[in-house]
Amino acid sequence: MEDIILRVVGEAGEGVISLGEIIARACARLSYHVLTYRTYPAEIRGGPTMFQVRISPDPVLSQGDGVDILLALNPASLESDGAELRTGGVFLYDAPDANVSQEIKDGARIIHYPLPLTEIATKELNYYLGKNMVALGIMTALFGFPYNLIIELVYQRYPKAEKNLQALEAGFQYGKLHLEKRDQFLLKGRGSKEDRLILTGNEAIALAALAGGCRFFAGYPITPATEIMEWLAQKLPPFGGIVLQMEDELAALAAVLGASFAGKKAMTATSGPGLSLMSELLGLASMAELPVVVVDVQRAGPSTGIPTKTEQSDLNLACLGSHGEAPRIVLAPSTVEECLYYTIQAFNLADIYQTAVILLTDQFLGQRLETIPKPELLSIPRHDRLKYLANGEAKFLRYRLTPTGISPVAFPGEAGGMHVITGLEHNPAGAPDYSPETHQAMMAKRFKKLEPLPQTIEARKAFGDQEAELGIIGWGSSQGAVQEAISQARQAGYRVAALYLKLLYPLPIEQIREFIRSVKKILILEGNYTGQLARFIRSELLINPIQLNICAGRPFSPREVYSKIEDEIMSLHQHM
Amino acid sequence: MTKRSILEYRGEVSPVWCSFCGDYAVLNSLYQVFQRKKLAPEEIVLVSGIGCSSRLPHFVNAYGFHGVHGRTLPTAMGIKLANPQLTVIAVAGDGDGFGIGLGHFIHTARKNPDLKYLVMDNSLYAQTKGQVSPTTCPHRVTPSTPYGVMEEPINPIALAILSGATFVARAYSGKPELLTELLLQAIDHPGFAFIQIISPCVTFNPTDTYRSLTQKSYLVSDYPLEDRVKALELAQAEDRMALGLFYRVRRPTIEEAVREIVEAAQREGPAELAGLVEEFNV
Ligand SMILES: Cc1ncc(C[n+]2csc(CCOP(=O)(O)OP(=O)(O)O)c2C)c(N)n1
Ligand code: SF4
Repeated sequence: MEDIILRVVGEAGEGVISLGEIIARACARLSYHVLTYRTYPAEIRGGPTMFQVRISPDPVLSQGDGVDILLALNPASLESDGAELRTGGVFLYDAPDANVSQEIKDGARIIHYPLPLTEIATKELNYYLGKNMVALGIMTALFGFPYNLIIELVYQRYPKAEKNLQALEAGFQYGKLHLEKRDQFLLKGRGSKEDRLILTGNEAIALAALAGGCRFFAGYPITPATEIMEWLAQKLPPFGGIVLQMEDELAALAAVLGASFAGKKAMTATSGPGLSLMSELLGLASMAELPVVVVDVQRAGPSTGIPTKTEQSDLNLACLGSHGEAPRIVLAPSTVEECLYYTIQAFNLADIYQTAVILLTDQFLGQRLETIPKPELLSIPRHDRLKYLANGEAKFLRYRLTPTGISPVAFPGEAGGMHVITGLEHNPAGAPDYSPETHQAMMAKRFKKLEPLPQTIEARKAFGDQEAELGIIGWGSSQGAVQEAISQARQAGYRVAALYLKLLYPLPIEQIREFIRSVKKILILEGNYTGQLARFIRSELLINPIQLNICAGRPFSPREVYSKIEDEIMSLHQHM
Repeated sequence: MTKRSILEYRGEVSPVWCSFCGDYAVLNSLYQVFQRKKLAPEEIVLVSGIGCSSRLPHFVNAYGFHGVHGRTLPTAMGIKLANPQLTVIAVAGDGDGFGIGLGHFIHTARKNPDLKYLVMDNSLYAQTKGQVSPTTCPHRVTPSTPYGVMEEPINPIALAILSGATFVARAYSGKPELLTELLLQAIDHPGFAFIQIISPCVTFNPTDTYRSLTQKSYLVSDYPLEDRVKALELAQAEDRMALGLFYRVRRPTIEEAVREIVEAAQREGPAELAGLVEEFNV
């Protein structure tokens, strides 16, 4: 079996996501690699919903292009999604009301299975909502999923709904008895036995936060970040920690900063609108040198924007948001596995450098399921704040000027460490001090302490060819699409390389410079309108990169990245 | 326990307030209460927002968090939940507490953390030179209301009672013994203890002078302190200068609720990370 893309479409409330997730989990159990992608409306009922699983015997890097198996629970999106079916693809839809155009029927040798989904659900079962389970039953029979596995997964999802199992059974029987298989897709399993996990980016962040030592979380619900708070609310208490839902994001970050001051590793998670509200307190974290981890699962902005759609447009806010000049650390993982790793890093770096660490992901990464190798979470070392030891040292100065810019801390309750932290400019003792020398020295301290950072962590990942004609720079969840496009380009004989930045503030300038020197032409690729990273790189390195920006509420596809690569290399050749 | 000297609590930074500012009385009462309760300086945390009044933590030898304008209460609650052993005292002005931070007042009261919350109310924004605040009387002329204040003031005592605060009192800088007494009771109260402290600004508020306030002030009558209806009735007196304890009840604090949740979750011993990872097995 090659890599296949299975897509389910329907209206919100029809069970598209439940159905898709069950299939994704089934495929993971059958030892395939999976990566899911979903789009859904911000409304609870109604509006088009799509859930896609890419299934492969090899690791899956992106959501891919096109569709191999399409199930439409609802006729609304038949046209647009139908048009994406690849040659030899399978189209399952709810007959008889499905209005499939002749064009799609005739096009590219597609195999059609009109199915009586509504009829079975309503007439046989008197349970319209069971339509998705009828479809699952039919697909189980058609694609050869082990029936017991599917029953187990349905049961896990709906522990009390006997009716769903009946609907599944009805669909399964229909599939076995009335459907003649005319396609070549079989998903019987791969029989490999590696230890793997299946989880979303949001779940990975929550799990890694716990592993990284987080014991205090305060937040406020917001799509698409809420899962982090909800998971931790369940799991922190057994570890002695707690989650508080606060009255707003201001209170959330304020409480987290309070807990941090008192010595806890603490975090909050939000999306753009919440990060906007938090920006004054982010400045305080920077000024008062309080460690904190803030996750921003980006969604389309500005303002309320498109709550359920992905975008990479909070980079400026994450790096520069807050008045004055308030240095912080900004990290951007690209995959679910990296969400684990960089979240633990975020807690370490927050404590080592005593500042705010913002972890930038997005809806695509936060809500996609991926299969990953089982991580050794506990083997990643954990770091805590440099502590002041009151054993005969000179008087404790909370903001003592040191060669590294990092000053030892004391926590409330510790004798000899009394001090007051403040958002006012302060002298080494922490007392308000507005003298020119103090402000200059303290600004330098706060910036200087971050200078070694690009060399001390994995600030970027590079892949592709040496001495490439085209070098792509990007960040975040588009990495997989770029990797795939590069493999394709390589097959076409092009030499392309990519540099994915994991540390976005402070930027690893030297590493970027080195990369830029090694390629002929630079393309910066971002899921935002203006090219926020491109602007930073342009001003830091005085280069004029080409840009590829999309701002459409969806992730980059490998195909569009490839065609940009092709265009740029062609034009390079023409100019030679 | 060893006897402590009041000097132990004096911070290295000297107050930057104008002479006769009402906030001195609050600072002095705090010193006395700390001494009388024999609190170790390292066990005390003072949390504040922004304003003349919010400078107070700098003048005390203790831990202090002088944060941003209005976020005093959630910050204090985060500290208390992180380390419930600490004595956490939040101090603010009426602008910080009833203007920009009012939402947090209601939500913190209903969570009932074991915090002491002292609002130094001078009926104006002193730090920014005298503008109207949420407790300024109607028609008063201030730099930002040259034609007179247009709205009704809020009623912090009634609001606190209705929001679920478990200790609600009003004190006055001009009556420092009563202030100290109420502070002592607040420290002893296990829960969210709110004291509105009428604290004159001698520089920007020519109306609410010590003389006029002292004349208007009187003590609340005796009644059962858990009588919410009676407390609310008294809180609505027009003059707003009834002093003393209005309301006191005992209700579980959020720290107690958290401890219960954690203990129940750990009944079978603390959890293991490895077990959590298993939950994501394919
Ligand atoms: C977000 C924000 N807005 C405005 C200010 C300016 N500001 C500083 S203090 C203050 C009012 C303080 O009034 P109050 O809390 O009553 O304290 P007082 O100075 O009267 O003691 C204001 C508006 C600020 N520091 N931060
Ligand atoms: S301006 Fe008013 S409130 Fe501020 S210190 Fe002076 S008297 Fe006190």
